Amino acid sequence: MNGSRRLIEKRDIAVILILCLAVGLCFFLFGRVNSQKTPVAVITVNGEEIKRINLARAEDGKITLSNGVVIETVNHAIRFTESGCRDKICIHTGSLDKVGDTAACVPMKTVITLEGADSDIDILTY
Amino acid sequence: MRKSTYKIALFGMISAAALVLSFLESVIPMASFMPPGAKAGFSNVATMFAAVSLGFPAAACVTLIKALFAGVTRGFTAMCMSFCGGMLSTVAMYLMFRFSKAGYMLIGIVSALFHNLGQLLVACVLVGNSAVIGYAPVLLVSGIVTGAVTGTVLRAAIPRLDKITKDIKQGGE
Repeated sequence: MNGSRRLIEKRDIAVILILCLAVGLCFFLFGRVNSQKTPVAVITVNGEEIKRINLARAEDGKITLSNGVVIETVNHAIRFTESGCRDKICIHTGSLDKVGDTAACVPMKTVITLEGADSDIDILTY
Repeated sequence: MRKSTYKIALFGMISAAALVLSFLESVIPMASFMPPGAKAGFSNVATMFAAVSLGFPAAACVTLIKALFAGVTRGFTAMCMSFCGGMLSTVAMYLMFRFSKAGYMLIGIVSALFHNLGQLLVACVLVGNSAVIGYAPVLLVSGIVTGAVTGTVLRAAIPRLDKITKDIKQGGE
């Protein structure tokens, strides 16, 4: 039953290449984009935007959210510093500094995304 | 040995193997060379073998057990990720095993990609924000690599696994 199937069939190679291309395409659609726009960090908790920070003008600072998550801006980059989650994936994602960068803490329902904007706003709090 | 006894025994062993492989992953430091949150997917080898040797219902149950185990040991979020990613992955791998002649490596890759897709979708729902998709490219790339590895591991293990299952079948006589 199992012996007839091989590791790689000839047709598989083409499919694998197509998949690689498709995933590569995702980089342009969803990932880091070479953008000239200023990166604006958007902090969302439970689907609601609670803060917007223009990273180009941001000074180094610390933000503590109501759910206990601590976010820091250092050197025009932003990152998770503390979180009550178990795996700390959010913290391990590291610093975000380019448009398209994303870090998320799923258990704490907190997401930081970097959008591109030509705006003059430095910080927006809701 | 009666066929049903054989199936139950094999299912139990595969499930146990899946959990042990899951644990093994957490011991190896993956964070250094893989995107945060990505896993090696070793336990997928067990699910794939369940799909091949016992069919879809059994494979789905192995996925369920993995998810429950993740829920007990790592929390609610991990359980949701494991369940959604795992079910999508199991459906895809079963369909490929049953209806296509694709090799083990491609099946491993496709099931890993579907696993990641499922996890991304649940993450978006849990967090309430579709921005989590930003993770997709890096995660999917690691998915292709880990999928190729798990597919290869399974192919290498098949001869031995076939011998073990044959021994189990004959064990009752």
